[in-house]
Amino acid sequence: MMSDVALAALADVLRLPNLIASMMGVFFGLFIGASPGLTISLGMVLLLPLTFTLAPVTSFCLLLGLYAAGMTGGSISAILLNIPGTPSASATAIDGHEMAKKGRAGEAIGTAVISSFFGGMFSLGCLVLIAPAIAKFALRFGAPELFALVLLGLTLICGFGQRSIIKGLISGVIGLIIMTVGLDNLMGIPRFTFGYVELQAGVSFLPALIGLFAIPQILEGIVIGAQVIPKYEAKISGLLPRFKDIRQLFKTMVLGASIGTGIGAIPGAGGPIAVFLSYDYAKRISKNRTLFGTGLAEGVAAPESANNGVAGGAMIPMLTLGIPGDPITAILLGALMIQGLTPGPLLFQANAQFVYSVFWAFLVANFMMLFLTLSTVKIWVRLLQVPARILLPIIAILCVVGSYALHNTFFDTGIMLFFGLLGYFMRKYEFPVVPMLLAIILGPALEEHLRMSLIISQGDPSIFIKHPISLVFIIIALITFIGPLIGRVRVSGGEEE
Amino acid sequence: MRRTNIFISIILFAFTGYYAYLITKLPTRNIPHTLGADFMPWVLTVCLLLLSSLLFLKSLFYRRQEKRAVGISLKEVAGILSLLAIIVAYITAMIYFGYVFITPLFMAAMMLMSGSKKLKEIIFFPIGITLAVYIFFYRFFNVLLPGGKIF
Repeated sequence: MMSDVALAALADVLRLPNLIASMMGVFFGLFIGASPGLTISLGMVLLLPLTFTLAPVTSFCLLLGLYAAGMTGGSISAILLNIPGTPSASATAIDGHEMAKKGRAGEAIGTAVISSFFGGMFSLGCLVLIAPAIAKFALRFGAPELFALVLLGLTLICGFGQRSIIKGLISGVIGLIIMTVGLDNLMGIPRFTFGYVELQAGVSFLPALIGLFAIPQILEGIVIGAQVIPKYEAKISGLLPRFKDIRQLFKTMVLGASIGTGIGAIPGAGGPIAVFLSYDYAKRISKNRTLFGTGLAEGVAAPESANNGVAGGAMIPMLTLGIPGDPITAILLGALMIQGLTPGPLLFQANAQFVYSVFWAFLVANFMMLFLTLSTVKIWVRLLQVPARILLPIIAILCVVGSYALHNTFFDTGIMLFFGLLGYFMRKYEFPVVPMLLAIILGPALEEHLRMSLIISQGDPSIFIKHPISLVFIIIALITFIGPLIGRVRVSGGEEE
Repeated sequence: MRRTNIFISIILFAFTGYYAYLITKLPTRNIPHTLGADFMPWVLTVCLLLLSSLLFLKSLFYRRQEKRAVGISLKEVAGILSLLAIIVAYITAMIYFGYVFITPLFMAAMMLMSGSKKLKEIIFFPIGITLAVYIFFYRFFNVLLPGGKIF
């Protein structure tokens, strides 16, 4: 029996403005996902300013629509042009493009969309079942546990998938330093504000996000020259796979969705790892393993179901613990904060209806994605051809307008430009921006819980060891921090840190 | 890459030093059993100093590194500077003339810089996009757009 809160949340999500928001999110997500070079994170930061005036549920309908559809949209250009629209669609290109070359583009896109839908629904099921239990457990957490948890989140993300761990950590520490700007929470002392009143509330993370994600892309696109996107001329037909085909792919989809959800729930792992892992496992268990890479529907179903499985999985730590699993959930976390909501276990207690609304909004987003992608795929194929010389100036305008809209001041636009330049140079000199983004989001919580813990213990740092949950988190943080370090030295024979 | 990393670590040392200097200038307030506002900044200073030293030492002594050229060419720097100049000019002009009047000019300039050559495209796209953003943000979502002092 569904609770009254869940029903009220469903009624809220099904209101016309929320359905329109979800539809708009899906359209925008498909466009962003299908356009090579434009990432879902970029789409999210461009849409964030629109959410200032919207209700929290409407905002999440918009953003989750973008999230679900962006993941799927990436497969369109991967299949048709062999250019993955998003990094997570890379594995789809292997078999998807081979299918397109054989004139089966429609079947490949249909398989991708249905598998994505399955992955999304599977991960939603896991989210609904697991998240409340984790949140309930996390209610026991005090300041030491929360500090250890945030620290764990930061180390997980700084250590994963970077060319240089040292540079990842430096990026994270600089992000934390940036977050020390503003009035100190406990003492009310202004820190590093240089006399600017605008900095007393700290560095606004929205202009920082826009700067870090969008400006480097504009600079690179215009200064270096964006890639030329080839045209896809052939006709697309036969989008809907037969029931028999879907039944044959069911096992692959379950495998992909399980891997995607599991990997998504681990902070720092992310979509690209999930899709390649899922592709590899699907190949291993398949009867047609020798045909993988030659245009096999299983080769599309596995990564696509994993791809969208990541979305629901990544929302588990984000909603229950306030720890984002990847840049996209970090931005979603920021969206929650803009709405005045504090992510974490208390969200389930204080805003239970909102949490249910997020679940329903994700469900609606997946259905919208399914129907809208299948019915409008030909439009997206045309939109793939929008040249960068038009697209990049539009993004530039949205960046300026979006950063201005936060406090209606050009000071934030300046902040956005500063972070844009910083992000550009970081990219050029191989400093990952994701650790900085996460430090900006998690930094204030890290400092607050650290200082609160030390106040409780009267300055005794052993409080973090005396509390068992905190101790476990710190041990995991140490293992995840040191583990990849040792692994890299062994594998590369000392070529990297 | 090695030289670049050495150069970057020197910049990081300088930044760490400046940050430490700023911390010493922070006002102090003594509340019993409470860590001061400078506690976290000092922790971060130590972390950054350690990491910068690691990067420096690794770049200096670690010979088996990838020999890849990274960095920015002079042409690229010139491109970035001119693009930034256009963006700064756009923002400055918007303070006086507002979003609606200045945005088409800015977009046209950006399109020219991106390699647009068709006159119709350069005229009509900027006007269309400016109006679309205006309607979408201001009329539909009630998001305030910059209004100028003059217009």
